[in-house]
Amino acid sequence: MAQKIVVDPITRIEGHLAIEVEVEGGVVKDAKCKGTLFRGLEIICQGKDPRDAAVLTSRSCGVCPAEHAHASVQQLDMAFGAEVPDNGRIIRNLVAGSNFIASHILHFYHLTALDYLDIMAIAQYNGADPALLKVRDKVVALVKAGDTAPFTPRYNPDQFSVADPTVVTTAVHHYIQALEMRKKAQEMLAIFGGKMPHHVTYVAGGVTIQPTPDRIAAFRSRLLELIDFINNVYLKDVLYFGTGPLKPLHDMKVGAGCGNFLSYGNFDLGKSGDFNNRFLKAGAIFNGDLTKVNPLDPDKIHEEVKYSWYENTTTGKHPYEGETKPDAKKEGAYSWLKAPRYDGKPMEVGPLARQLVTQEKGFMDLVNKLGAWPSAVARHAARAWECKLIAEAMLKWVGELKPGEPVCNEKPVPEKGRGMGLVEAARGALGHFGVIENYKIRNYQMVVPTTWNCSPADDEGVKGPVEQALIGAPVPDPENPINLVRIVRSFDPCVACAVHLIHPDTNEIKKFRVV
Amino acid sequence: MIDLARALRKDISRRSFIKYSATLAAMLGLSDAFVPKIAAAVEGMANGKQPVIWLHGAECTGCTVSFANSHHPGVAELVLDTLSLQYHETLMAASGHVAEKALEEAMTRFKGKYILVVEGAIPVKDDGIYCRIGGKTFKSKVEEAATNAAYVVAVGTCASFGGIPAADPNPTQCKGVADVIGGTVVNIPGCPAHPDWIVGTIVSILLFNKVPELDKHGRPMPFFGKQIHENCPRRGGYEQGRFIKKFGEELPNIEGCMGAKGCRGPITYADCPHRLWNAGTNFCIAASAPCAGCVEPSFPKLPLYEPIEEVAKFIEESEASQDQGSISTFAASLGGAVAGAAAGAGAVYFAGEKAREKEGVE
Repeated sequence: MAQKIVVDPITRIEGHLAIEVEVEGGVVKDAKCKGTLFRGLEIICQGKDPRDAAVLTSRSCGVCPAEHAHASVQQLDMAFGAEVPDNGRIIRNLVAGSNFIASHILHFYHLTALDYLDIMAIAQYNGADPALLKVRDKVVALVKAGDTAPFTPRYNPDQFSVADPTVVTTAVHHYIQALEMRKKAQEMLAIFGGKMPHHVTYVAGGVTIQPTPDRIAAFRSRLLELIDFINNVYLKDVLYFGTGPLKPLHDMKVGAGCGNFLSYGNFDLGKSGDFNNRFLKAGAIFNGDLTKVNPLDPDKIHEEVKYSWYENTTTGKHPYEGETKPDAKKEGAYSWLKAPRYDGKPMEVGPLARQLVTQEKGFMDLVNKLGAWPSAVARHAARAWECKLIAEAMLKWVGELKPGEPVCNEKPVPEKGRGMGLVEAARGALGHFGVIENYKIRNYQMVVPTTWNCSPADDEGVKGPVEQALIGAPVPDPENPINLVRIVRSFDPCVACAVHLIHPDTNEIKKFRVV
Repeated sequence: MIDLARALRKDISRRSFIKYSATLAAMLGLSDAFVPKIAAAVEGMANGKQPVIWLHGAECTGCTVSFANSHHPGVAELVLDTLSLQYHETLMAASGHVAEKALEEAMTRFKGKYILVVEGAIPVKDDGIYCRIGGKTFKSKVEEAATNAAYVVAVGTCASFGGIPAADPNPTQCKGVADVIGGTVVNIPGCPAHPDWIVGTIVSILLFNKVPELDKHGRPMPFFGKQIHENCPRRGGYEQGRFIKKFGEELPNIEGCMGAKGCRGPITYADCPHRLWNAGTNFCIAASAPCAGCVEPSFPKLPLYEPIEEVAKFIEESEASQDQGSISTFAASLGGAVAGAAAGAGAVYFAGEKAREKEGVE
């Protein structure tokens, strides 16, 4: 007898998300990803001045607004025929990199760590490190002062939870440092962005802001602090967990997913918008075959809507022709997310996809050493590794800025044209597609990372990547479905930009508390 | 880094304890309601923290991210020292059914005492089905939570006035909180709201036990009382009729005004030029971008990169006085109200400058 588990809302992610799974014999048999918000930003863009698109669409998400603005100005560059000067390209890379660093640190420490630590182990710490003793004493005081009530709601630690007192206490200590570090990364972004969230310096043809020596120095100084933290704290923590206590979870391939990976590439090294010349590479991998990275072909992107609340007539379209026609009463639909497909297949996007496509040597050595890819644990490893690669590259890029040289090549709004901005957000492949007619936006479509990952089934009934990752997951105790949140959070969902809505579920069998 | 404010405090140990407790509370999955109790038990202090219920609707979480960027006080310190966050989807430990239960309990337990913070607009089309949390519409959740709130605070322009999701054609009929529930709502707009505005407003409520003086749009005067344009570091450029005409260009001997690129400074009221953003790092106009007027009910006033009527008129006048003819790039209508006095003064000043230049007067 299958048991239904519904978690709504899932917290400690960005945005409004719910999942519904069926568990039979301790294993997930079926899964549905749902979201709960529809704002219609694409509809708002229609008929507006094309230059306004970047401002409007950056509001898709307050966690990755810089990436939305990036995709938006790249589609404008293309539609306007504006060549971005080197300074403009580099400043955009630095802003994007800052957003990645802030997002990755936040994700590991503040959104994820709880899924893997047995916090109560802190009380057993008996080392001599003063910083760790301080952490221990606080926790002990908390326990003594209250009772066990404050520790609920919370799942029970399972066989994969890390329970070594020194390790757990150290992780909590790092969590506290990480709060300050993510804030510093946001400040770093604001140096070339004006403010954050929703920075203001991106325009078609480049950026508005000059790379003055004082700004370069202020940026570099924060970057060095962050590199130190990433290399000596964040990456070490992730590798320690991944190759040590969480290795069994990785070896079981918990949260493997669909095995298809898509990356648009990010951080332009040559001509702005040329996805074939990027620091992180563009390409597609099918069926887990890492020996064959297929070149990216944007014509292979389309979206299907059989299980989404949109009119069926809008299915199977490339985003240039895409339409957003809500049909909230549609029979059989269960999500506001469309189902994006590449060459007809569901694709996982995000740090793991980017790293497997880029195949940087250090990372591939890790893949070969650990085997068992992909998994939920592997996603965290890829995220941390990427963070190190990007931060170190940024140090080189900031040195390539040339004060006094042009930052922007402004062009007038064309009477007609179209553009496509394919970039990567921290969470994965992000595409903005705009069509201009009579100096105004005729059509605007966004295909966002969480839509790829959390997509519903497509017209053929093939499930999306997160749904596939959930199916087969071990849930030995349905009262304690900890693996479900581990898997969902490993994708770093960011649902504000993945528009969809949940229908009231009247036939729920069971509701769960998941922390 | 030396933190003077911290160094001067007498109660460092307690504060650092609380900072740790806050962080640990978040991490341990402690219900926030319980943390003040624990702190009180451990330290023998009275539990005087302000309960807060924070709801998310049609939003992007940008205001929460901005709140987490609070510099002094830092977010952990803030949450424990001053506030007791009863419900906050991004920060709280609980999920699903239990999270919803926590919300109900908080509304009962702190009836008439809690501050309700709303982030995001309220979609009202089709009975509000476009935003649901735990199966309920966001509209109904806000209405219910506002009933017994001591104060209702709308954080961000979406919650204050509808903001970007309410931009034409407003597909889900998004509205600001005050438009939906009526009564007194403290609006802290901004896209996002500045962390100091959020923190400062809440602290002000706690200090004086009443809402601060509000302007006609429900915004606290201390933060939203002064016009951006009057306090702008590029004001000199405006007065002398020196405008940035192309993005990315700077003028050699003056900070050129961003008015020709659509700056909303003359119709926007906020303290950004002095307060700056992200721990004093920068702000929009300093980054050579126009002010988008993100704290105003009219935001987003489109098209954003075309000069507003008053400025277009002034540019025309000042350029005419520079014998450069009219500007062909601006299609803005020149009718309607004009900031005549200011424009006139600026043009006169500029003409005077021109005359002095011609006469070789130093």
